[in-house]
Amino acid sequence: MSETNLDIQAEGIDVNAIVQEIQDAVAEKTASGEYNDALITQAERSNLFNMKDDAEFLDYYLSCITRSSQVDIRAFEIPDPKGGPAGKAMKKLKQSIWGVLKFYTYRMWTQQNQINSLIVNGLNIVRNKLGEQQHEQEKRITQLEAALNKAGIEIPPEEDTHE
Amino acid sequence: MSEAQHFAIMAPRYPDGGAIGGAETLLKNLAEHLVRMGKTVHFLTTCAKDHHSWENTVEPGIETINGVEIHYFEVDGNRDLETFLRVQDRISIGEKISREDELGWINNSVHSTPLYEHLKSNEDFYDAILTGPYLFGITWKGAQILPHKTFLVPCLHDEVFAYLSIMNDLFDAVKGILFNAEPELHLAVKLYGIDPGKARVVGMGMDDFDSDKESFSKRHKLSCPYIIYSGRREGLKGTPLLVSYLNTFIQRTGKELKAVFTGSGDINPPPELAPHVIDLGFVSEKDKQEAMAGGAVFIHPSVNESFGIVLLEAFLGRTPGLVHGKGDVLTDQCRKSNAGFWFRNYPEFEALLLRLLDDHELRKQMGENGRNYVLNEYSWEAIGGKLMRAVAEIS
Repeated sequence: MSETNLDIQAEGIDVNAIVQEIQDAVAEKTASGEYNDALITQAERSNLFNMKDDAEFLDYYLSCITRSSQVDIRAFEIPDPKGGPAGKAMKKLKQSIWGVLKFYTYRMWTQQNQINSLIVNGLNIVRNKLGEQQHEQEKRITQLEAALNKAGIEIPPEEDTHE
Repeated sequence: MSEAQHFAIMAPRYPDGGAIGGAETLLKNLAEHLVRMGKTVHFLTTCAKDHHSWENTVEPGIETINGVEIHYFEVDGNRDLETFLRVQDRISIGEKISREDELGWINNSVHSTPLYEHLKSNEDFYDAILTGPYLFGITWKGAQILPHKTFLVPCLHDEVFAYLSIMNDLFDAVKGILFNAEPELHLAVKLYGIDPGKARVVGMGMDDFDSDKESFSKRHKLSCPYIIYSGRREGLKGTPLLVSYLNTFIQRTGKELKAVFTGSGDINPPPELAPHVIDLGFVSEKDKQEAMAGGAVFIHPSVNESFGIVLLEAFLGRTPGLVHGKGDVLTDQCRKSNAGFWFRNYPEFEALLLRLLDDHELRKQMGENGRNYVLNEYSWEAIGGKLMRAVAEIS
C-alpha cells in the first residue's frame, strides 16, 4: 500500500503542484518496486489507452507481467491454530493433502511457468528490439536532417499521419 | 449589424429524458437559455429517439417546451443500413477507407429531407443556426445547407471518426465553430487547420444547486465515505477501468469505501467489489445532485469528453474530482478550477485517492474552488454573453 507523506496547506491550493509531487513520489516508489503487484497488473488491463503512446508505462507494465508471470508452487507454512492432538492431526492431514496436490500438479504448473516465461521473455525481446530499431531510425533521421540542412534544403513540417 | 434574434438549433434528437447524449442536452439547454434572453428559438430535430434504429417514434409536428418550439421531422427511410454499418465497422477499427466509402457512410447516416427543406425555405427567417454533434449525417448535411448562417457545436472528441476527410468539409463550410473547451478547439486546429478567427470557446451554462452534503449518506445509512461516478457505464467512458481500479484500491489499502454509480448501463463489479457498490441506476436530477454533493470524490475516468457536464455538476456540489490524465478536457477543467486531480495509471490513482480521502480540509477547499469556478465560468449569464458575442463577432 502506498502512503503519501506530503503536507499541503488547504489555503491557496495548487493542484498542479500536488499532482506533480504525488507523481514524483509514485515514480520513486515504482522504482523501488512498491507497485510490483499482480493486482495492479490486472487493474491496468483496462487502461490499455496508456500503452498506445507511453513507452515508460509499457516498460512498467512489462516489468509487472514479468514479476507476476510465475505460479507460486513453493511450499508454505501450514498453521496449527488449534494446537493439541486434534490440531496436530489436522495439520498433518493438510500437509498430506498439499503434498498430494503438489505431486499431481507439479508437472502442470512447471510447464505453465515455462510457457509464461517464454511469453514474457518474448514480449521483452520484442520490446527491446523495437526500442533499438526506433533509436537507430531516430539517429538516422537526425543525420539526414543535418545533411539536408547543410545542403540548404528546407525540411517540410511534420505531417499528421494519423489516419 | 443588429443582434441575432431568430435561432434554429438543429440536433438529431430532442433530449426529453436522461438517456439522450450530452451534446443534444447541451444544445437543448442553450436553446432554453436563448429563449430566456428573449430570442425566438426553433429546435429542429427528428422524430427518432433511438440512435441505433433511428426509427420515427414521435409524431411529426411542433410542440413548445420551456418556450422553445420543437419541430419534429421524419427521418428518411431510404438508408442503406448495410453499407453504413459495414463502413462504420471498418472506421471503428481504424482502417483507412476511401473518400467514396466515407461519403457512403455519412450519406447513409441519419438524414431528414423535410428538415433540410424547412431550413431552405426559412433562410430569411433564421439569423443563426446552431448544430451538432459533428458525426451525424443530419449535422454534416444540415450544416452545409445554409453554411453562411451555421455555427457548428461539434462536441469533438479525439476518436477515429474525427479523422475522416469528410469532416474537413464540414469544419471548412460553416460560418463559425463553437467549442466547449480549449483542448477541443486545439484538437480541431490540429485536425482540420481551422481558422481560429471563426472559432470561439462558449461551453454550456450550468444550473446552480445546493444540496445537503449529509442527506444521501443518511438516507442510505452509510457510515463510510463514498466515491461517485455519474453517466453512462461503458468502455468509452472508462467505467471498466474505474471498476478494476476500485477493486484493486480496496484490496490493497483496506479502506472502508463505497462506490456510488448513477446512470445507465451495466457495471459488472467482481464479487469482491460488489458489496462496496451502490448502483442507483437512472435517478432524478435532485437525487443525482444530492449523491454528488455527498461524495468524497467524483471520479471521471473517461478520456474522451468534450465538456464534462457531470464533473462540473460535481464541482457545483462542492465535490472534488479525480479524472484520467489522458482526458485533456477534464484535466484542463481540474487544473483551471484547482478542484481536481488527474491520474495516468493505477499507482497514481491510488496515491491521489488516498490523499483526497485522508485530507478532509483539502477536499473541502477543493470543493469550494470547484463551486466558485463553475459559478464564475459557467453561469448562464456568462455563457449567454459568450454565445451572443461569438455570433456577432464571427462574420
